[in-house]
Amino acid sequence: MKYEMVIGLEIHAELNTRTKIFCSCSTQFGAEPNTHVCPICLAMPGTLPVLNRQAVEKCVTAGLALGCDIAPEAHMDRKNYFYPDLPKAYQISQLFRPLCTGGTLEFEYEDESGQARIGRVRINRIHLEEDAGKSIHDLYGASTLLDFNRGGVPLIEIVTEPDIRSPEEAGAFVDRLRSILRYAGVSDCQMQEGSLRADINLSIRPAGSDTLGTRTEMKNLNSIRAIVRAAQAEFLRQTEVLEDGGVIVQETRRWDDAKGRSLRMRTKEEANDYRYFPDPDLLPIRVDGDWLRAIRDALPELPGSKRRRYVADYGLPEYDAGILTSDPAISAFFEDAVACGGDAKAVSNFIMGDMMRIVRERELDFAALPFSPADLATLVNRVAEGVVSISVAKGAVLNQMFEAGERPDAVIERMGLRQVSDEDTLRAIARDVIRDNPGVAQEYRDGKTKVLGFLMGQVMKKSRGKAQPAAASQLLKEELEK
Amino acid sequence: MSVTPEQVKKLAHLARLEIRDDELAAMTRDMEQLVALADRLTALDLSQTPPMDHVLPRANVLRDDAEPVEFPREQALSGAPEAVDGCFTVPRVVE
Ligand SMILES: [Zn+2]
Repeated sequence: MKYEMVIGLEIHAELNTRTKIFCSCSTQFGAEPNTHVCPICLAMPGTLPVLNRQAVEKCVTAGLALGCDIAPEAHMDRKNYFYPDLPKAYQISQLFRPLCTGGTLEFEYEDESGQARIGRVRINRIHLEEDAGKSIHDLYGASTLLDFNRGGVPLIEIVTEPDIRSPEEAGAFVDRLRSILRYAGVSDCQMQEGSLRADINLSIRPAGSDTLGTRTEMKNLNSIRAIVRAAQAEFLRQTEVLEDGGVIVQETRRWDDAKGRSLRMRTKEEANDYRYFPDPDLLPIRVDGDWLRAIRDALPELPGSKRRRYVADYGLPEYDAGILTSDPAISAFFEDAVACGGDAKAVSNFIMGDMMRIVRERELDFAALPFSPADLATLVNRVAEGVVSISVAKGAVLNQMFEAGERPDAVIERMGLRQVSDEDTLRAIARDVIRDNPGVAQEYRDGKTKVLGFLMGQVMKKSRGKAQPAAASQLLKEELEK
Repeated sequence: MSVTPEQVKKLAHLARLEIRDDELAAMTRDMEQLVALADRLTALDLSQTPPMDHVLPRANVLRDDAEPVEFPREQALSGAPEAVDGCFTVPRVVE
């Protein structure tokens, strides 16, 4: 039998506020253990939480960016369970009246066979809650260590409807969601640091059926690649169970990315009974009228509209526009370079080609490069003016800009990289090349004109990439035909 | 609505309370009375009464996301029975 998979996602994103959701402790990642804690986030008796206004606004911003309805009145609820990383023995979350409901995300993706498709995933809700602390399980000792720096960091949980039908679609959804949350300025979405975490709910059913099978929940997915692989593996696992005559057990599984497989964490019977109830310490939240209007007005341009604008205004191909708008730091760099007078197409080629490769290899950040968008605009213009060749610009000059933050004009002068278009110099180089390659030169004269490319390559090599190609090619032909 | 001893045991487990067998019958009776008290509300016609979301008639009690405030770690850890490497310690928890 042929099966299809049905996937719903639950995504947690840490909001990038300066302070925690209910107290004034810093949310900075990577600090010494328990240096960002206080009596409130440690749940000392007698303390009271006070909700962070910007955490509410960022949750609403995320909702608006995803086309959700914003509840005129929302409440905070208590989710009760015992675990050492949760000092109150309850997490303050939202069950009954979340801030955002409804919404849709549309995105392009490539399916398994490389076919371009449009994904359309409905958002069930987005709610506000607090993160838990971190347990450190000492490998040999008899104790577990607890660091509460993360405890009380504001989170949004985004719950989708089970609208996803393939691992590729799930990966693309999270990728686009991450991009939107970054643009909206609500979360840094660093999956490696855990500021964006996804859980997959997956079930299978005979293809074409419209009933839902028993689902499993997969946790610990900390990259888009892990999401895709985990969904593939779980689909195969469930298919095998059914084909062997077994039944799917509703359970939570933990993905081990190194091993490429998942292990059962707990079954439904072992699952918690959270006994939610409204938190009496926190008053209702009413986002209406002026407040909602102000949040809506502050919403930045989102990647979808930016992409359409790049195609319409700059004449960039869809694909290029998609890459440039995938990350707000990249699109900001691009727009600034264009504003500084760089040709959009040429700037885009520099960014998408060599710059993105170097940034990836050196693990840099487009928001903090050693040179400015204005420097890139200058470099692009020097190529257009014929001062440097494109290969020298993308090679030695760009490299030096990354290496030392040196201005492009300074690199060109200091390293003597100006393009050579002087006739005598170029003619001398052409003669040298013909002398060194008499066989090839004869082939050309015998009518095999495509060897010109090889000879031009030798000219460029001899001039260390500085020969102005059109002039050099013209002179080379003249010398060959003499 | 009646309350069974099994439900009381389950609630006690969820709340991490230890109940001796000889306490169970009395506890079940108490619970039943509590539920009966709350059930009296369902006998009333509340169709015209707006839900009371909170005992205080206020909303939007919020603070601004301002400069973070530091709290000394020694003080944070001072009440802990045991601390190692700046961390609270508890008996080993296995996932
Ligand atoms: Zn705190």
